[in-house]
Amino acid sequence: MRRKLQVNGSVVEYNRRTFKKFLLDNLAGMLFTLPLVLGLIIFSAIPIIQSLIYSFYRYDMTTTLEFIGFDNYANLLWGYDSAEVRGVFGRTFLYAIITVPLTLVLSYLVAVLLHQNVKGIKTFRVLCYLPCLIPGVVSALVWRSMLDQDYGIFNAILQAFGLSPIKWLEAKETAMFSMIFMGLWGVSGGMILWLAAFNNIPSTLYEAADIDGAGRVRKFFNITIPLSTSMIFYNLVTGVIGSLQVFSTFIMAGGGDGPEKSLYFIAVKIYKEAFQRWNMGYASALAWVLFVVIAILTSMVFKTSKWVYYGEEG
Amino acid sequence: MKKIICFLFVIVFVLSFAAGCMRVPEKPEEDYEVDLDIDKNITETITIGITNFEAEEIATEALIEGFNDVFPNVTVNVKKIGGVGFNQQIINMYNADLKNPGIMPDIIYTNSADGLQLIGKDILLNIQPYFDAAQEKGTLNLDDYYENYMKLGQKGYDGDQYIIPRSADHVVVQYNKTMFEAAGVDMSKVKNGWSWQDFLDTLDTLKAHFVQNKDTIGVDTPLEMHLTWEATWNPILVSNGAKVFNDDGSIALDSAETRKALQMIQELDTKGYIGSGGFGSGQAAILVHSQAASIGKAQIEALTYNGKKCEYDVVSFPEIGENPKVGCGVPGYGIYARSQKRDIAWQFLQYVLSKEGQDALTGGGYNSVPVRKDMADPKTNKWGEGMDDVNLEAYTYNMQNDIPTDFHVKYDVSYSYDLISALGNMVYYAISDYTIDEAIEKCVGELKYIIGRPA
Repeated sequence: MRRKLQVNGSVVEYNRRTFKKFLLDNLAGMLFTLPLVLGLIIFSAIPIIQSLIYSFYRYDMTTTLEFIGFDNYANLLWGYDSAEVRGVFGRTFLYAIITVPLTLVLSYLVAVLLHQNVKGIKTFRVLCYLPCLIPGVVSALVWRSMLDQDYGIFNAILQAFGLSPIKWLEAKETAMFSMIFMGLWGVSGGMILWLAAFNNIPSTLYEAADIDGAGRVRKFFNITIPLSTSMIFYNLVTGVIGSLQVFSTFIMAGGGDGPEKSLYFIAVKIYKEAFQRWNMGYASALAWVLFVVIAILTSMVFKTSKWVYYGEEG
Repeated sequence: MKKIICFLFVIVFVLSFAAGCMRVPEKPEEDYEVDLDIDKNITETITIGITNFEAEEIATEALIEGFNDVFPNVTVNVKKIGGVGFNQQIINMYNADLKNPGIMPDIIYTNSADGLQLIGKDILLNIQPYFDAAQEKGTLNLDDYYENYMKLGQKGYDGDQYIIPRSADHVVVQYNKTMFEAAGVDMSKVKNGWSWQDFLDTLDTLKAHFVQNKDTIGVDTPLEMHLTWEATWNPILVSNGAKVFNDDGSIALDSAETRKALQMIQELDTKGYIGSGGFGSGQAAILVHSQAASIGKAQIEALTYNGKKCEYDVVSFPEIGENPKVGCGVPGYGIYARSQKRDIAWQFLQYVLSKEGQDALTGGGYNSVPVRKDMADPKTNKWGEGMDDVNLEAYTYNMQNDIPTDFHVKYDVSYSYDLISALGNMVYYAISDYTIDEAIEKCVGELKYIIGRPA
């Protein structure tokens, strides 16, 4: 029996013999990828499918396992928990809507500054990237300490200038904005990618623009931005996904959900349902709803990505 | 290729089912045989699971050393499981143990709050048969122990025994005596059994002193008291006669008694008595807590105040009203419900309850309060050694007034965390920008939501 197989972009016909030959020819490569494939199956694929199965059960990890069909989904979409779920999703969206563009723009501007050909630029790049080397948990704890109302350094500075201290994390009005402010600490995380994108822009384009008499601003808007849109797109997609999964608030709020639930985001709720209320089935259903929401938003970003420039098509 | 992908998907799906523990384990047997006659020279190995805090390890090692004096050939291995999320890790280990027995320790460290979850999830063994047999044999006399504290190891704090209490954690007022004297506090009021008003008067004197000398001493709030901690707000609520739930489970929080209790708590904040300054670092004169006196004493005696070496002392929690209550809790140990070595594990537990065990615990650096009534006197027992100048009697003063945070036990254990958090939030609201009525209203809303959830 003859089959078709795509190899290096071209379609070839094969039979069992050629398929066997194909396997033997690529055996080394397959063996190299095997650990990764096994890791993905064991640590990603199986837990993902398990969570889908759990989402149809009332499951407390020890004594209760009862099939309840779509009850978990009904409870969170229009049942007893729908108001709270709407609240946590609303808060998460608000966080994402502010954080994603802010981080994109600021990290882009930092990268532009660090792309200049000035003396000591490598030192500046290292200094700007240093915050990303600190583990997230550690930086969250450090920020919690710095933002403390009574002994934090920010309020000490305010008080030194005769200003009133601010309840950074202790009041519902300021807690989320303090979180967003803290998130800017890692703004240089995307800088490496931006710099790589800038380096891929052919210098001939800038030389041609110089000959045409274009200024720095014109070159920035007409060359730098259009030719780095693929990286903007990548950072936008990962930014949306990351901000909807924000969990560092759990540490910032001392394991809680912030003053009057102002830092109660969807990832925190999933954690609490699973490991404080032991509703593993319900937590799994919430995780799958979050997955669907992220998938829809990501596909919307992809559908509207005509502005992205991927280079000359071969 | 599509067929291969489909085949792989099916394999992964089946594996997910197989690996997914899609069955509930059978309940562990509760009607088991008890053997108390263990040969003292038995050779055996058991494991004890504890938190990974250094102080816990030191205390456990001290107990093991003492236990080995009685059972020299029993090896007790220590398994450090983690501090934060201890129960979560225990439950993960439990699920792994169901498939590969031997992963779970035979003895599990827990406390009166977390233990309720482990009991509710059939992870801890009902040790009532051991209690009954040991009493019958005469090796255990429950009259030797504080009843309140023994109850903290029972199912729902009033049923069969699952956990043995290791020590009696009783909330007291620890204070910096040097600061008190410098502020001119009327020390005749600072004695065991003092009233809430005496406590407020003392705070007032300290506050005035700190405000007057703020520029030179840098301290402006006299009190470190964690108001949203259940061992703080619960006795204040109960002493005032407030109830969270009626006997039928309906919400009873919206009452004059709750308002009175919240006013007392609010006053501590509005009068500027409470700050975030730490007692141990000399930023507050008072700490309301249950920590062992040895910890506070070491911290305070390392400080100076106005050039003078600081002295430390303790007094009982101030009494509120006609029916005063004090917050309490216990650390302790339970036996894993599926342990194959429960008889020797029980011997370890019984050793912890013995005078020798309680002394061994003190030898481990803690001067924690023994759970035995006959060891209450610090002057004649090891836990008072080196503390002659400290009023340790405060730790055992009117123990019959001790009350655990037990309002939530009439509901499923999966509600406990949220119910306690809701009351803590109410206190937070009361000391934030809300009125007491608003704080209660918000809390009642949270309670309705929590108990309205399916268990």
